[in-house]
Parts: sequence; C-alpha cells; structure tokens
Amino acid sequence: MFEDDEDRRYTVVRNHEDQYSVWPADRPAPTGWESVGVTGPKSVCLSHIETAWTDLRPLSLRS
Amino acid sequence: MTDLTATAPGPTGTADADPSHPASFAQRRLWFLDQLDSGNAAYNLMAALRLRGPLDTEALHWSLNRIVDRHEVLRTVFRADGEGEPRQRVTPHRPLDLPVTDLTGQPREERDERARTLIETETERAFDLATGPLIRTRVVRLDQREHVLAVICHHTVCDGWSMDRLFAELSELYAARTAGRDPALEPLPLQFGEYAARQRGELAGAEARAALAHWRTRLQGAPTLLELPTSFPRPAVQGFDGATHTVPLSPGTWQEVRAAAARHKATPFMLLLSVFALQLSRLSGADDLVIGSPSAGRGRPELAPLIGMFVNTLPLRIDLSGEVTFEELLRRVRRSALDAFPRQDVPLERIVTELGPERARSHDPLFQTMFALQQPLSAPELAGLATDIFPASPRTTFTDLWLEIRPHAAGSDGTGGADCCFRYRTELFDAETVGRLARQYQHLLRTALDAPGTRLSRFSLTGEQETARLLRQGNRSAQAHPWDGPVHEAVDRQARRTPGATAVVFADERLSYAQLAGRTGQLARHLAAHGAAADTPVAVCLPRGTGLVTSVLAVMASGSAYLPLSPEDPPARLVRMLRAAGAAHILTTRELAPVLADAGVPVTAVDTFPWEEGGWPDRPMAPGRVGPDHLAYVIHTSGSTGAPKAVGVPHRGLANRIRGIQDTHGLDTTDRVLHKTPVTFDVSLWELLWPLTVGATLVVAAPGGHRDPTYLVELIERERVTTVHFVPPLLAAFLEEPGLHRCASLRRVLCSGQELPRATRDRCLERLPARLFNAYGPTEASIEVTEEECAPKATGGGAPDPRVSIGRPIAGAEVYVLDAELRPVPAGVPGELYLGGVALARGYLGQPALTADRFVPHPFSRTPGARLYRTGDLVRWRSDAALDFLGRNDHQVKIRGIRVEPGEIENVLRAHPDVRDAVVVATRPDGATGIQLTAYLVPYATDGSRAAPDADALVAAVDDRLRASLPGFMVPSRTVVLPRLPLNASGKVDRAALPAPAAPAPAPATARVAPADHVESTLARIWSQVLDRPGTDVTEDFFALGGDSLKSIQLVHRAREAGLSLRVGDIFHHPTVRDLAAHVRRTAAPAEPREDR
Repeated sequence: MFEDDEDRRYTVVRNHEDQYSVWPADRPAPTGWESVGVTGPKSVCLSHIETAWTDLRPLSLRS
Repeated sequence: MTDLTATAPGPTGTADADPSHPASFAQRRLWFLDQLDSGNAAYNLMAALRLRGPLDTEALHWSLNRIVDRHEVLRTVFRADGEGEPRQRVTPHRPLDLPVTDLTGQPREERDERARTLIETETERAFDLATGPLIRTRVVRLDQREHVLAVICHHTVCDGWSMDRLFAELSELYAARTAGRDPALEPLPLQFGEYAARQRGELAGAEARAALAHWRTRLQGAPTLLELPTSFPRPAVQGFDGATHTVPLSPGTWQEVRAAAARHKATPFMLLLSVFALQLSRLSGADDLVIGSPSAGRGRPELAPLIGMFVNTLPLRIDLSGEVTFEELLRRVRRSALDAFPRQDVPLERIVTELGPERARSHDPLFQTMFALQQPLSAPELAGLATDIFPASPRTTFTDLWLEIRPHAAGSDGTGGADCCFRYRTELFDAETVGRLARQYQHLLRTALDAPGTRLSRFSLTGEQETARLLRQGNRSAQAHPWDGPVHEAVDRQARRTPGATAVVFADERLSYAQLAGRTGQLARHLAAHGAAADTPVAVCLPRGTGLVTSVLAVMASGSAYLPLSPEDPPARLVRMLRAAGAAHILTTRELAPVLADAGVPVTAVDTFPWEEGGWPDRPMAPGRVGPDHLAYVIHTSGSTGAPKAVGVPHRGLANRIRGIQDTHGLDTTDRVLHKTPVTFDVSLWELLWPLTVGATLVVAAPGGHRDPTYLVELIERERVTTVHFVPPLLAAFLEEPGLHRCASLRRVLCSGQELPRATRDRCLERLPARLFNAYGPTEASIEVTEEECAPKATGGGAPDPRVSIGRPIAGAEVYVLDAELRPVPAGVPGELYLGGVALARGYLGQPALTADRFVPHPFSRTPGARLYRTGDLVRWRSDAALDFLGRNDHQVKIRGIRVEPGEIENVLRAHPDVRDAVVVATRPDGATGIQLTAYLVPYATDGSRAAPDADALVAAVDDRLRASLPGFMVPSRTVVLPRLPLNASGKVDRAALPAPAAPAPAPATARVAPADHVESTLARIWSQVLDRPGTDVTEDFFALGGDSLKSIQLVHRAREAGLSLRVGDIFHHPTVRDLAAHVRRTAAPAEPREDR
C-alpha cells in the first residue's frame, strides 16, 4: 500500500477492536479508525505498533 | 475512352538519362518495412467521397489521369540499387484504371454496407512497390445519382494532406472538363523526387545536425517500450491487423477544450495529448513516455501544392514524474511540443538511426502509441454534385494504439463536436478493452477540464459509476453464511444423525461417526484438563491416520486453536515453532513425544491413547465453548524472507468456508473425500472437516502417499474416492499415470495452491470424467476466497484463453483489485489483490508490526473498523468479472527496463507438447550486470533414465518456440532440463531449491567463437563485410554490433549471392551467425519434419 513513495508520512491508527494499522497521514482514515497520535515514516509507525499492540486478540475477546 | 494526348501542365522536365532519385528517409523506411513483410497493407491510405447527383464518369476518369500526369510521385516505383539502397524511379504515364462497381441490383438498404466492405477490401489489397502503380481508384454506383469514389495510395507516395491536394485538383479539373474549358492549375514548383534529393543535402547541413543533436539529447534514456495492459500477450513478430473504435466529444466539451487550452496558453492539441499521456502513464505505470505525433512536414510554401510523403512523425517525450498537477503536465507537454515543432523536419528515421535503439520485430523502436489532432474533415466541391466524406476504416494499423481526434466541420452556430478515434492493433487489444480505453479517456478529459489543479496521482481512471461497479463486482457474491457455531459442532450434529455411518477410512481401519465423536470428546476433555483454553494453540504433530482426524476435531472441541506441525520436519525446528506459537499442549506419536517435550508443555501420544468406547452421545463432544472470533487454527506460512509466520484464523471464516464449499459442490453421504494434503497447507482443513459435516466418508491417504501417483490411483479406485484436491504440479504428474482410467469414481477435482496451467486443465478435462474446479486463497484468509469451475477449452469459440481464471469471490469474501493508491483499477489492468470480509485471518501471531502492515484499514467497507488483507498477488479483472492471477508482485522482474512476468513465459513453455511443467526464474549471476532469465523444464518421459539424451533437442525445440512466440527480451538466456521440479511440503514448486544454471559461456571479449562449418563461415564473412569489422564472433548479435535495417537487407542480398536462402525477417529472429546458420541448415533440409503445433 502506497509503497511507491518512500517519503510518504503515515499515521498509526486503531479500531474499536484495538487492532492497529497505518494510514497515509494526509488522508482521512476510513470509518472506524482513529489516529493514536503517532505520525512519521512507515517504519517509525510500524515500530511503534510493535511495542504498543501487545495483544492481537480483538478487544471483545480479551475480558 | 479517355483523351490522354494533351501534355501535362507544369514542368515535368526530368528528361535526364536516369530519371531516378534517392528515396526520401520516410520512403526508405516504408520500403524497408515492405521488404520485411511484403504484402502488408497497413501503409495503404484511403479516402472516399459520396457523390450525389449526375456523375460524369468520363470527366472523373480524365481528371484523375491528369493528376497522375502532373505528379510524378504518383507514377513512381521503388527498386534497390547495388548497395541495397532504394531509389525512386518515375515511370512513363500509364492510364489509371477507374473500375466501376454497380450495386444498383442489390437491396437498397445493403448498398452502403457493401460499398464500405468493397472499399475496405480494396484498401487492404497490397501494392507492389517495385512495379506500381501505387495509386488505385474505384467508383461504386449505389444508384443512378449516387456514387462513391475511393482513392487508395501507398503511403510512400502520399499522405493525409496530399489527399486534400488531390481532391482540390480533382475539383478544378472536373469542373473544367464538364464545362468544356481549360483547367486553371498552377504549374508545380517542383516534383517530389527533387524534394527528396534536396532533403538529403539539407540534412547534411549544420542546422539539421544541430536539430538532430537536440533530438538525441531529448530522447536519451527514454523507455523503448510502453507496456500497456494488453488483452493478449505481445507476439514475437508484430502484424498489422487493426480496428477502429470511435467515441464522440460533444460540441460543449469541444468548446471547453478550446477555452481551457487558451486559458493555459496552449493549444487543444497540447491539452488533448496531455490527457492521453496521463492515461497511458496510469495504465502502464510509466512516468516517462514517448508518444509519436505526425507533423505535416510542409513548412515551406513551395511544398504546399505537392502530393507526396511529407508527413513526419515526431517522437514527443513526456515527463509525468513527481507529484504534479494536470496544469503542470500541460505546461510540460507544451514545452515538449514547442521544442519539437521547430525541429520537425528531422526525419524520424534519422532520429531512430541516431539513437540506435534495440531493434525487435515484436514492437516499433522509440514509441508504440501515437496521437494526432486532425483538421476538420470537409469534402471537396465537385461541379454539379453534392459531396461528403464516405466513412470507411480499413482493418489495419501500423502502431499499437493511435488516438486521432477529428473535429467536425463547424455547424451553423459556428461550433461542432469532435470524434475520438482509437485505432488499435487487434493482436494486442480486443474491442471491449478499447471501448473501455475510450471511456477512460473521456472521463480523464472531463476531470482535466473540471479540475485542472488535480494532482496526476489523484486522477481516477474510472468514472464514479465504473468505480462503484468495480467495488461491487468484488463484493457482490452472496452474503457470508450467518454464524451457526463452529465446524466441529456441525460434525457433532452429523454424528447424531448418522452415528453408524463410516466417517473415516484409513488403510484397514474404519471409524463410524459415533466412534469418531466419542473419541473426539474423550480427547477434548483430556486436553481441557491439561492446559487447553480458548484461543490458545494446541499443536498436532501426527502422520496421517485416524488419530490425526480425531486430534484435529478434539483440539477445536476443547476450545483451543489447532496448530498443525509436520512430523517430517526436523525436531529442533518443531520445538522452535512450538515455543514461538505458545502452544499449550502437544498431540503427537509415542516416538516423537520425548523430543517434543523439550518445548516444555504437556505432550500426549495419540497413537497409544487409551480410547474408551461409549460415553457419547450422553456427554457432548465439545466441552469448550468457542465464539466466531476465537482462533480455529494457526498455520505457518513462509514468506519471501523465509522466516515462518504463524497465521491465526478465526472460526467464523472457517465455518463460512466449509458451508460455502458445500454449497458449491453439494456433497452427500455417498461421497468419499480423499485427505492427502499435508496438514501444514490449509486446504487440508476442508479435506478433514467438510465431509464429516455432511455424512460423507473421509478417506485418509497413507503418510507420504500424496507424492506417489501410482498409489493414489490404486487408493482412489479401491476406496471409490469421489472428491480430491491437487496442487497443479501434482495434478500434472497424476494425469500422466498409466492407470488413470481406473479412477472412474472421481466426480470432482479441486485445484489450488498455485497457478493452474492451461495445459494441465485441458489434460485433466480430457483424461478424467470428473469436473474440475480452480480456486485461490492465501493462508491469511480462510482457505479459498475465489473459485470457478474450469470449462472445456472449446466453449465460446473464441481464441483460447491464455490463462485459467481463479474465478469469482465465494460467499462472504470481498475481493478488490487496487493500485498503489488503493483505488480500484479497471478491468484488464493489473493490480494488487486485496481481500476483505469474514475470510480474513486475525493476523500474524506475535508479529504486530507485520500484521499492521499487511492488514490495513478498509476504505470501502460499511462496517466501521474493518480491515483489508493485501495479498502481494497481481491479478486483473476479466471482462466476465472473473479474476486472472498474474503472479507474485515480488516475482516480477525488469529486463533492460521492461517489465517481465515469468508466468507468461512459463505458459508458453508449458504449451509445448513435450513439456510437462516449467518454471522461469530471474537471477543475477555473479559478476553479471543484468538480470538473466532461466527456464527450468520437466519433459514428459516414461522413465527418468530416458530424459538425458533428449534434453538438448528439447532445449532447442523449446527455444525455437519461445523465439517464435515471445519478444526477444522475454526469451530466457538459459534452459535447464530437470527430471522433476523441487516441491515444498505442500506440493508447490520450491523456487529456492532450483539448481543454479551452469556457468555462463565465456565472455566474447576473452575468446572469439570461430565459425564451425561452411555455412557459418560464409555468413561470418558477409557479416564482417556488411558491418565493416574484421573477424566475427558467431555468438555475437548482429544488431548489437551496429547492424540496422538497411544492413540487414545488404546481408540478405549478399547471402543470396552466396547461395544461402534468407529473408530479412530471419535476421531479427536469429541475430547471431550461429543461430542464423542453424536456421539456414534447417530450412535447407525440407525432409526434416518441422514442429508445427
């Protein structure tokens, strides 16, 4: 996704199930996804996710 | 009947002894093309007029003869001189024929169409450049008072502007003749031949040299081939069959084009060309393009009244790089055009020679697309007649895709619209694709007019409607099945319906549904008591057998996730995977148990488990409760990096797939499904579970048996198997099994796992009585997401499909083909496949960053927070809304800057009757500068020992076929014959395990390869003469050594003198002395049967 442009800035987004992903910073995230406030090159966003997303289970399964 | 005694007006004073002139550069090129492919009609020009009123045929004929008389060029023929250079010679006048075809006997409503066909057929009839005449005229009588006049000329003596000149003279001559007065035509200032001679001189001048240098600088490093998404693969030798598709631009739009161009200080030509460039760029992915555009070539006033080939094609290079707006693109195109126009007199042929691009018969050098904005069409006046243009389009083309915009003559209100005519090579494009291109062009033009500040990357190739349609197309399959519990509960329910029926057969063992459910329950309770919990993997490391079936069900029934491991893997690797996955328990054999205990979790040996009969159905089979989002299984997949990734797939997707596959195939209790797929490949999941949900019988193959076609035939016959899955390489091997006819019980064969070659499909349909289904699905989605039944090849009657489709999305799966900006790409255009819906995996366990990178926010879903999985697979929509699989994104390679899809080469290889399977890989050998293609072939061979002696012959035969059907850059430089392809555990081709090709031949610089026989030494001698370099290496490429089209003709002339029979085209196919000599020897021995299938 969007990989042809290495200068592109991304933002870390999260949905209601606490699943993480990245989305181009200059575009509104699709419905149901919110920025967690981390923005930068894709690698920076992904390394944030590597530490922040500790449980891959959807939130509704975690209780 | 015509009076030809009058002398022609104007100076025709070429009374020299030799009335010949050198050919102009453009004539020389056209002549060469005619030598290369004589009889092609792509360069025949035609203009036709409808004439209403009383036609004086005699006056018309007289007038046409006067024109031929006045213009020497219309009496010119072309002959090669001793050097192989063409010269134009003017022949004395000979009367021009004007045959009249009378259609008045035909039904009125058919006459127009018949006239059109007649004229088109006449246009497609070849001219003989050596004997002439190079002009033909014809009248078709539709009615006593309605005629069509067609004038057809070869492009060497005429161009579009010349046709206008011809009609203007006709107008005056006809008026004079019918009025009985003298025609008032100015004498011609010069003849075409004099122009051609003058052109040669001028091009040697300083100004022309500077202009040529400009073109060289401008085009340095430009891409030589524009890779448009074509409907059909590019043939090795391009032909000239063409067709035209025309769409209108409304008068309103046309006015907007003119106004917008004016606002940007540009011309409508520049604006319309910018839109075309944008379209080509988006379709090809290239941001640097060369588009040819004709210029009249009549900058000097004295040329204006002449008929002849003056038109020149300017190679306009257009830069679309960077995140620029359409306005910026228009500025760049404007600059490019303004740069080109003052230098438009440099013949294209000179520019091509100057740049010396690689020559290929598969495509034209420099550019393959053209753009032109024509003058408004207006019919000439003919005294006493009402005239208008009679539309006809010959079925030829000389470029891949040519957009010609033809404004209409202004209407009464001073405005008219325009036509967009797309002329295209029918070998590359079908009518439907070009129809789509035309709609795209209109849509892009609309956006450019409405919002010229839009960045190029934000232009959508598709209108809102088509975008919506494309999104629907991937998403319009049936809804997902509503969740009604996990699959193992469906097995439990089935067991209650048919407890006594046979559920599992393995060798001599039989398990009834009751026994299976009882054992499952017992083992599930054991697991629940020893660490199993929802969402936690429990590993199953067992060879095939009844214990495996019970274990899979028991793991799911315990509520945990089934983690299959192959008992054939090295124990150390197994322990690593167990730890990484966090398995809570291990089910294995007594033999493996001590080794796997190293993982530090409870281990149960299933082969010595104390099964108790009874207990079921009083106690439920499943003690654990699982929800749709809990993991059903965890399967490892090795990515391109090689490190295994653990993919976790929830129950919802698995249940949907099992219900869906049943909907497609409708298994019943008489069906017997073979389980032979290794458990580490997700297809094994439906093999194991699906039959048990419907009361069918699961037949379990012996461990290792899946690799042995002989065993499989025996097993299928003995156990009356009805349903079997194969990965394509194993299916191909199975189909060659001598006892195949014994598999009469087979009802259906399902294929997936990698691309199904057409040859394998056809052979399967031919050799087995079963229906064949092809499916696609990555591990990251529950098993398969698209599927389709393979139809016999004869259906439809059209050209054979070059690929086997992977079908349409299954119920509940969403499929999108997107570009790098996540926009849907139009049908026919390659894009990356994205998946959505209930089939999606949860992600890669323990790898959040990788999961976040591959599972992305879903921009098209109505469900908030939904995700899409990006597969990394290249696919395209077909016109029938099914998908073509084109390969892995990361398998694509660029050879000399041209994108090459190895799968396309593999398809050609597999089509060879002696090739059973083939793989093409790109490698960069040590020390080599470029990427090399290596082909690996597996021949059909009855026994392995026979393969070796035939290998050389096979390689030669296959090489011939490749050269005949693929462009040169796609022909692998090395071919390796293998007895079989290395397969991984799932039966797919293991590319990493292919042997490296033998060391390359020594570099030409170090040792020249000398001629080996008489033919080679004769050719080598001529080579040296023509190329003017001493000593020829028989492995060196003619064109790489400076050979060009003219030199190739000289080569052929001299070879013929030396008694070797050659055609010019042969040199393009066989550009080295060695190859050419081999070709000469082959064609000189007609007794030898030629492969012609």
